[in-house]
Amino acid sequence: MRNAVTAPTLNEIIYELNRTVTTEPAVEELTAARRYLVGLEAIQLQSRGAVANELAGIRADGLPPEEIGAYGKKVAATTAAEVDAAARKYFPASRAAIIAVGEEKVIREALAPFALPMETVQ
Amino acid sequence: MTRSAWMGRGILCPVLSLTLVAPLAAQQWRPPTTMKKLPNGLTVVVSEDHSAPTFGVCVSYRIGFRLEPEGRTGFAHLFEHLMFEGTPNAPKGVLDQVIEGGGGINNGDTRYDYTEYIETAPVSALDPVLWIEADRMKTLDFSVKNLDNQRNVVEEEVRVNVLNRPYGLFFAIDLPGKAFDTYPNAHNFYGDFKDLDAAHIEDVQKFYQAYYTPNNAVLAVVGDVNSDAVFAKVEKYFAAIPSRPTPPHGPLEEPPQKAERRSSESDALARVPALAIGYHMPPRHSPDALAGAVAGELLHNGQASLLYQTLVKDKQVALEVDGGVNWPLGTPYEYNGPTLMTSFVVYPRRRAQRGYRSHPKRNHL
Repeated sequence: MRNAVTAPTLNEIIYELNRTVTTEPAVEELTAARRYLVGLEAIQLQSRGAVANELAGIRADGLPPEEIGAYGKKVAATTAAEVDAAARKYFPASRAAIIAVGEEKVIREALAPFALPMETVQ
Repeated sequence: MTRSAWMGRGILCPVLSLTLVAPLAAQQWRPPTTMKKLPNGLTVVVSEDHSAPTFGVCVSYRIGFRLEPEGRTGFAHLFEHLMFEGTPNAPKGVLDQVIEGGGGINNGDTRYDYTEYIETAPVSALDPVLWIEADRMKTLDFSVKNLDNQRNVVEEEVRVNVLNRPYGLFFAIDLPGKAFDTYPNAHNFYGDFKDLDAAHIEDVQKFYQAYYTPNNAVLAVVGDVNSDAVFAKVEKYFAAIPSRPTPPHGPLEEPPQKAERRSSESDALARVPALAIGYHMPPRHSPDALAGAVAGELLHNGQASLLYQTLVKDKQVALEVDGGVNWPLGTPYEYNGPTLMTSFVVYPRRRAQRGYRSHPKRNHL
């Protein structure tokens, strides 16, 4: 994105994260998100290389090979209340670290209204 | 990245002899295919592959950079963006809801000779995905607001990938501009801002009318599907879409190049110099094209390639090399008009000058 839209972009991100903290996801949102993750797992396991990689990874994590493909089933079983609880636990603004890369002067001015402690790294 | 490349090398070296065995089984294998043409001209290809409960759909329209109108550089790509902005039946947002809500992913890309739309999803989403592709083959929501919005998105893409990036794809935009003489092959496919700014909603309608027709498209369905069932579904969703004649186009061939051409430009964002070299390639169906493809690989592909070994490792006059036939916007087998074999080399200024002096015969590099 352009430096000029730093503030509106961050505002939108914080708004959406706060929304997950303060409200339960709507049924359609939750269903679509779960289906997407379940489908993505099937898509990611399409190639021989990906299956080999996944089997090795599962083994390295100390899990049995039957764990392959089990992630989708578990995701499909998540409830709105669980998603909400996880969001409240992990997504409050106090836990966030934000990094903005670009023109320092413009970014600092754009982010000033957020009153966040800022540090510059070259 | 670096670490895994290094580790991979350590593991692969002892079994190098294995990699030199000709992949015979791979040479003999062909994906099974069945092809049909609907009365409206839509070409349908199905390939069954039951190894995963998924499918892929690609709708490819025979329209790309070469045929975009003069004064409208970048239009084929801008148009591709508008294919994701909704139709009267499926307003903006529905396409992503249908595909992602079905557990799938989707994308589109524009190249010299075609523009394609691709979805991958679990087989349960086959019907909605075919429906959504048929829907945008019927008509679009021709809205000025969507055009303005996507014009901004595309111009941002040009800023990120061309204007604000070191080297700015000069090997893909400026090199063909220098190597070719006619508009279809030489123009800036990403679009000059004055042309993108001039694009009008009527251009969008005319372009759609001309090129986005079933008779100008190929639909491919691959995956855990039954061919007959797919043809029945395609019939159901696409058969009623009327065909329209595709407008004729002028010649795409280039006059022969008689002498070496050179040009240089300065780039404030580049820390070290780079050069790009293009050679005209034979037509795709010429027997030489296959040998050209192999030569392109031999020269450019990976760290075992001749250019990498010579310029980066042996003589140490270059930092990075890349390239190939019809690179970087296609494969050596996919082009339907003039193309180049391109070599892109980034080099440290002092070393390269020393290289020039000590290897005068190589000064074209």
